[in-house]
Amino acid sequence: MPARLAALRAAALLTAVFAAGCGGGKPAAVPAGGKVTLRKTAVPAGALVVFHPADPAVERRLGGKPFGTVGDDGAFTLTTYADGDGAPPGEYGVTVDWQKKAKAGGMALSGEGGGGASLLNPRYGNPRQPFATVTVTADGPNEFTFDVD
Amino acid sequence: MTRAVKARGFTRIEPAPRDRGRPARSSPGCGRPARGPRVAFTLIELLVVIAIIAVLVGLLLPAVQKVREAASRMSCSNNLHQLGLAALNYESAYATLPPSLVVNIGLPPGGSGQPGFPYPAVVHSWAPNFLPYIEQDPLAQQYNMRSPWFSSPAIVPGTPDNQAALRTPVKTFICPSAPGGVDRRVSGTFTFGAPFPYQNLAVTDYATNSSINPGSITFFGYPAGTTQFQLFSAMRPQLEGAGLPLLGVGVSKPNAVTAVLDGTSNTILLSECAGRPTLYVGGRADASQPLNDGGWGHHENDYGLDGAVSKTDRRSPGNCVINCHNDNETYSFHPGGAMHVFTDGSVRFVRETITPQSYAALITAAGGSMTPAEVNPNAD
Repeated sequence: MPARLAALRAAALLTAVFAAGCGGGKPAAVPAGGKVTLRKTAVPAGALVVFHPADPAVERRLGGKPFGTVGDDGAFTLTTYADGDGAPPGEYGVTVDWQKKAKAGGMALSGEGGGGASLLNPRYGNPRQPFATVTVTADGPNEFTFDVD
Repeated sequence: MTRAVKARGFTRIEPAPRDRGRPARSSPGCGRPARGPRVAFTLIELLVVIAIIAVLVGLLLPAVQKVREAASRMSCSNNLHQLGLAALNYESAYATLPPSLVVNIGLPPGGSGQPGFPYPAVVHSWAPNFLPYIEQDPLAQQYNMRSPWFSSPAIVPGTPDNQAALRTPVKTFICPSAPGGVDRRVSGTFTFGAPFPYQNLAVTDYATNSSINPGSITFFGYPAGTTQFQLFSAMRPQLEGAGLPLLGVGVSKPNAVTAVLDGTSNTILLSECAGRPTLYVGGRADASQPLNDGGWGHHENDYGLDGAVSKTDRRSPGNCVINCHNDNETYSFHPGGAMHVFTDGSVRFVRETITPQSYAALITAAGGSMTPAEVNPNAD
């Protein structure tokens, strides 16, 4: 029956549109991480590594950007949507910022914030002129090594 | 007369039409004794009716809740609008916007003749300065600005009872969408050189997100080394006194409205941080760790932006800047975003899909062109 066939086609089309609507959201993250060393020898434990998307439109599509914190062994794992999920494939400018831990004392107004002067050369922490540009690929291995001073 | 009707596998007794009043006779083929004409529903019929009612209620209930949320949301945005106008009226009187936090600390802190004596400092939240402009004059009279918010004769006999004023709920500070309404109370201890306990303070669902926290500045796209002073919002702290170095901060004065260089319609004045003192993470209440701030007089109503990893993981920084948790981040009970009053007095709903960089740009008062989002904060 042609009428029923048309209805079926319409239903299939609608399903396809909805499926596309749901799947067309944020690009999936692939595992990514790496290592940061301080003058090749030390480890800037606690430094914040941020991957800034080269294209601001990509940042809007992701709803943010990948970032990670350097551990005691110098390794970091990127996080975008959930802890340690990596980064969506694409081109990124990298910044590393390492701050002095705020001193914890009896005279403090708030437990939040803290931080202080950057301990690294400011050229590592400028998102508009990143010191390194990297590409995260879908097949990996997305392991990036940076040395800062 | 009654007759048995066999339909779809079950037997039903029903009166025959125009037979009422006649003596009943046994129906042929039915073994039951004769009885009077009877109108009754079978179990199936009842179940069907109940099921239909259940479906209708099920359809109606979300609609009712939606209407209630819409009404609460309207009232919530109206409160923010009142607070926005109050801030601008304050600006007309004092030539600056109200401070997001007041600290005046002498050297030595709490020394005789120093600010706040016998307390270590004068500390206030953003809220007391708003009271005279939201028709809360009596409460403003009761609150002593020369003593810190935690001042109470129960701590130092003879000192002003600011805690008593802070126990009074103020409707304009409450968002009706937040569970608990005006009945929420918060108690705790603020340690500031010495422990200062406070009890049963009334809460606020609005707060000042007055800057970007230093640990997150590169995450939000600002160059490393940018100070919090460059990233302050329209309402910023008023910090003064010789003891400030003890807190590790410098002098800060509240902004004149002309200092809001990003434009008053592009700069947030107050945000929602609703539901306190219960900790909410991504819509779920976490009863195991109640918050000790949220009182409208508590200075921790002023905080900086960090974001959170996700709606289930509240570590910072992160890409989730709205509706992730209410521990010093923007949080509301409106689906999809949160209400904000901007420095021009307009109330806008900012969606939780906003990028962290754009949200940061809306917070800063003079971000200039430090990030692409500062250049065009309304791109999202």
